[in-house]
Amino acid sequence: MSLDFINAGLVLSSITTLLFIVPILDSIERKVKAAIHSRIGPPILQTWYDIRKLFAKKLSVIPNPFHVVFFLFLYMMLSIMSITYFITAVLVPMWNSIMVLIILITILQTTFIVLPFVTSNPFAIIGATREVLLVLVNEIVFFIAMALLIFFSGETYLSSLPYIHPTPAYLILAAILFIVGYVSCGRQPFDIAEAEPEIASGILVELTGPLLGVFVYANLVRRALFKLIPVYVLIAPFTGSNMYALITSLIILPILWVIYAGLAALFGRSRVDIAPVSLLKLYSILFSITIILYLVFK
Amino acid sequence: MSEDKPATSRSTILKALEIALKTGRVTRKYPFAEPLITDEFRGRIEIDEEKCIGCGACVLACPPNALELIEENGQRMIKYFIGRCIYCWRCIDVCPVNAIRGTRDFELATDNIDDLVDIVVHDMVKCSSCGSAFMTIRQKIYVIKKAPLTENYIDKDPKCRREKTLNALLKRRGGVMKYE
Amino acid sequence: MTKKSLDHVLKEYIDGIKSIYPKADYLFSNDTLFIVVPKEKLRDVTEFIHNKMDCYLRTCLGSDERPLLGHFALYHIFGDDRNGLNIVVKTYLDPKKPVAPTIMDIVPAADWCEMEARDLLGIEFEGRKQYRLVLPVGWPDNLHPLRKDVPYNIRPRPSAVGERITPPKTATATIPVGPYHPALHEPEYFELYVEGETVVDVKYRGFHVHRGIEKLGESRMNYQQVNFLAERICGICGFVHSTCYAQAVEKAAKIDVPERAKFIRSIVLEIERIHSHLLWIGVAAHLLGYDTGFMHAWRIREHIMVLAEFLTGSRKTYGINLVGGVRRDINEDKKKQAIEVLDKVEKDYMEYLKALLAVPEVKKRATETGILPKEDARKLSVVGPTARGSGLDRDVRRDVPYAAYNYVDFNVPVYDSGDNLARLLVRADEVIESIKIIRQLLDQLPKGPIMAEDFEIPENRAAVSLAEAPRGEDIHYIITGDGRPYRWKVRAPTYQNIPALKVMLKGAPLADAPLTIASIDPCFSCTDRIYVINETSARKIVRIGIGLCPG
Ligand code: SF4
Ligand code: SF4
Repeated sequence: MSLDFINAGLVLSSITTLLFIVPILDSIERKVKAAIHSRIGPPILQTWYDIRKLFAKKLSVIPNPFHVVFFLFLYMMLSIMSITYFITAVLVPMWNSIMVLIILITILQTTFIVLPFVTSNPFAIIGATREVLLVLVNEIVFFIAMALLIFFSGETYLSSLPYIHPTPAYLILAAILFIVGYVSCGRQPFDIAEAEPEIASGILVELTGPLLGVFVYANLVRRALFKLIPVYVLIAPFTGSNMYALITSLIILPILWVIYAGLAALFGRSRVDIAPVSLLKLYSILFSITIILYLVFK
Repeated sequence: MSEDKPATSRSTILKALEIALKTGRVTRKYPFAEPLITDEFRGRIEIDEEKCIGCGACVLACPPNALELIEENGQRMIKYFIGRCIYCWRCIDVCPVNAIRGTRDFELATDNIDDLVDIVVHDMVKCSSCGSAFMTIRQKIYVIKKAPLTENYIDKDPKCRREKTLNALLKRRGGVMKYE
Repeated sequence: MTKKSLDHVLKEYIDGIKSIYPKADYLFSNDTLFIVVPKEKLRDVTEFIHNKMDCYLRTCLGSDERPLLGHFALYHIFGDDRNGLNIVVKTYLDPKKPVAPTIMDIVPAADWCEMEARDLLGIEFEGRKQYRLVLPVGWPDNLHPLRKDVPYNIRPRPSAVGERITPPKTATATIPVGPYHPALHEPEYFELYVEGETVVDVKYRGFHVHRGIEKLGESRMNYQQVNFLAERICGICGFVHSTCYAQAVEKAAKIDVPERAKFIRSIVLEIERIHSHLLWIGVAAHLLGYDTGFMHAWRIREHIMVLAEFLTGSRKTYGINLVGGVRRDINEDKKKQAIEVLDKVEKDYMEYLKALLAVPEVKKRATETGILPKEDARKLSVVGPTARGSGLDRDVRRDVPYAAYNYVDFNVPVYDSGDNLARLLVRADEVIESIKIIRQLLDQLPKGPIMAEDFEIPENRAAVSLAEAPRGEDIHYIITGDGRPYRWKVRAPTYQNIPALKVMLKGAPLADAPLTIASIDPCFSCTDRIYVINETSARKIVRIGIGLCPG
């Protein structure tokens, strides 16, 4: 009973902190990039200021508003829900939680790529078609990686991961998840959907004001989720307790965010016909290694 | 030199990090920090109303019509509108009495357009024959100082002056025609 | 390459033209050969000059000379870069109904300038498809603003006519880019017809920033004021325009410009080239998603901007050119500081280039995209880095030296692959060459005045002036008038390069289109300028030489 209380408190407090600091992490990302650019960069609360400003703007009518607004809010709800579910499932043993997470993320990603399609804006659709290819590759890889994870560890509970023994094959899987996470966040060289100078501006081109604010925020939450999952998978077996695993993951999150930001600043943007192919190559190599390792160490 | 050819150089993407570390931060918090301009910068001009003689040379030289010459009720105005000024300082080059000074001001944004206008007003001399105003008092003083002999006819406007000369000529030849 | 003597070359031209039309009038002045031929012979002469003598078409222009000589005139300006010559072919056209034969099938590069003459002067061209190029859609058909009898203040009622999108049959979708696309920073309009992610055809509609001749024609601009106006044709390479304009007038009036002024012009021109190329490299990096490259290119550029301000008084639109010389001197102190800045910039720049080219995406995406084959480049007479990236070795700084370029020694980088990378590398190398040039110029800076003493500008003289802008050769053609130019034609480099985009974009992935469009370093405002100063009150009839007005 008391453990449940602690867990509930922990879940609530982690979620609220996360939801609050995610925009700050984004500002830090901008700061890091600015440092690499030799610039001062924006203040630490800049992303919050941006969101506030967007919400202060007038709500403008867009074509096909019902669909857009529906999917937009679905997207935001799903991002927040997925991250909440993830944190809860880490602390509280829940049956088949890894599978549920896979499904949640699949729906989340689908919403994300459907969103531009429901706007009738050609530029958004160009961005979306580019994104579809990338997300397809990435989603399938995510799916396979999680499936292998279940297979290798024999666990379907997220909360059991701290108690398994980390094998080399498992660690490679975690590495794959890191790459998936990086790609899903749409950073260089994988920012092909939001490549504003390349005519396609993704969904961003269509939304303004509060709607854009919702999208920006939801996107940041999604980015946080895609960083948390691999971190948790990687460090869980070394911590030995779910609570430690969760707290450590939350601490590592900003560090990882900074590293990703730095990496993104060093790359250029890839192209839609290059990126998925080179990604596939990389993934196949990693998958082969992990399977070989698994077979060798079995 | 060939190993310096950038196209063939070998380095990694980390080179950018190295550059960034070496360079440090170069931007500054501009509106709150000093602007980055050199001593040679050309900014807004200032017309010294004490010195200006209202000759209009600057008006003729100014490429974008930032300087205008307006004559009204026996007064001549040199009107400087900063909004049109391109800060070329051509006016400074041509002013005969060095009445214009160049400044380094460039932060001139304002919400009141009157801040952008500067007017120097001159009283004019009236022609002793026809009474039309044709030059400023200061211009007259300037010309007399530079060329003292002109004193005799300076108070007539160019048209009357021409007429006078022509009539004098014709008279000398015995003619009676009036110059038109 | 053995340089034939000038007399020999001239004889070759004159003999060739005389064999086509024995009565052709000609005149040689400065570096320009003026020829008058009747319009029936124009095509033969063009064929001879363009194909046989292998000259480029620099541009063509019409002029309303009815107040002077009672006819319209059409000038075709060709360039023989190997011998440093300009050849101006003039044809008289009927004052009532000016019709000229087209030369577009012989010289595809003549497409635009012919249509410009048609829009602005009403000269019809036989034997080609004619369309409206410069004037807006709603403009009345028979109102040609450049004619001397059209008052400057005519304001036809705007009509709400639209242009239709007419995609080719193979296209599955049309992507309009512009006129104010958020990602591209100038008012241009491209229609990309795509099939999936591949561009199948392109349509360009420019001239949205046609800034009008009428007002300027009637304004009280005089020879010296036009310098400042010319400088504003382009926001990046304005100094090239004012230099080119000043040179044209100086050539026409045969003014002796002091050496020191020429050196200062060259120094500032090269400073302008460095900042322009660094700007472009930064933008290219940005287009490739590599913002770190963008910021650092501009950081290095900033030193150059401050140096420009220190030497001239302004970061841009330096305002130091006048007909006859320059307004600001470079003293010993400035010289020393300039050299310091150049040393720093060179060091930083070399490191920067290494970092930029180490980014895999930059190289991968620039290689083999936006290819312009050499033959197409030649046919379209493209200029500048666009030409040099396609293996055409032309640079007027070396071929037709002006200002102080014959005192310095520099390389003209040429790459053969014709892709975006080639154009990038040409610019990258040129920055290094420019730094080299400035060092040499500062070192040899001669003593003396910077402004020619008293000179007069006679009326009805003509001259062609060239200058290598960062984007390619810039051409100004002047016919002098009373206190101001009678006809002033500007051909900005981008004007010549935009038609090449069609070749580069066809069949290429859509995602590369912005980089390819940017790879010619387009300057749309330059292209659209049509800064022709005309004196509308010219009622005097002056008989001059053979009607060509060279001095
Ligand atoms: S600085 Fe130039 S633009 Fe300004 S008033 Fe003087 S001449 Fe005119
Ligand atoms: S040129 Fe000088 S004196 Fe003449 S009007 Fe201008 S400021 Fe006054």
